[in-house]
Amino acid sequence: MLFTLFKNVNQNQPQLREFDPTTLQRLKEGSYLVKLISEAEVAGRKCEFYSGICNDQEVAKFFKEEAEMLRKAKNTLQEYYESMTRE
Amino acid sequence: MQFSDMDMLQDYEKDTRMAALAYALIQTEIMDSTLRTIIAKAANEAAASQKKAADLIMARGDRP
Repeated sequence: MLFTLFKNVNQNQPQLREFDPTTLQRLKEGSYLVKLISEAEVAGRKCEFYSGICNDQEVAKFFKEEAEMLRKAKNTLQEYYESMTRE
Repeated sequence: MQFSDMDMLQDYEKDTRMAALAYALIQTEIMDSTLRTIIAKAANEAAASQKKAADLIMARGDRP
């Protein structure tokens, strides 16, 4: 009875569309990817900055290599995200 | 503010440690098999970077 009442009350309200589980999963994966891409980019910039202010050459080299690796990782994730969102 | 080399190494070691954990956790929530492989590779690379940073810290007489 209550269900009918609510249904009638909300009849003129805009209806929400429910996504199917596959679409929801896809959306979740996409949002994870966006987060990972931005984190990789920030970490890469941080490594670049660190490699510039290091005193020890070995440490500077390590940070430079890490920055390069993070840039590659970011590109891989970006490419996959673009392939996912392409029609 | 001045950072010493050790500060930067410790900070980056912590970052890679967190990244390895986060990638491993996210991997369990991914259903797409290709993406899962990419995330697994990222988790391994983060752990490898953590090891490199930890080794550099140990070589300089500190501990991670």
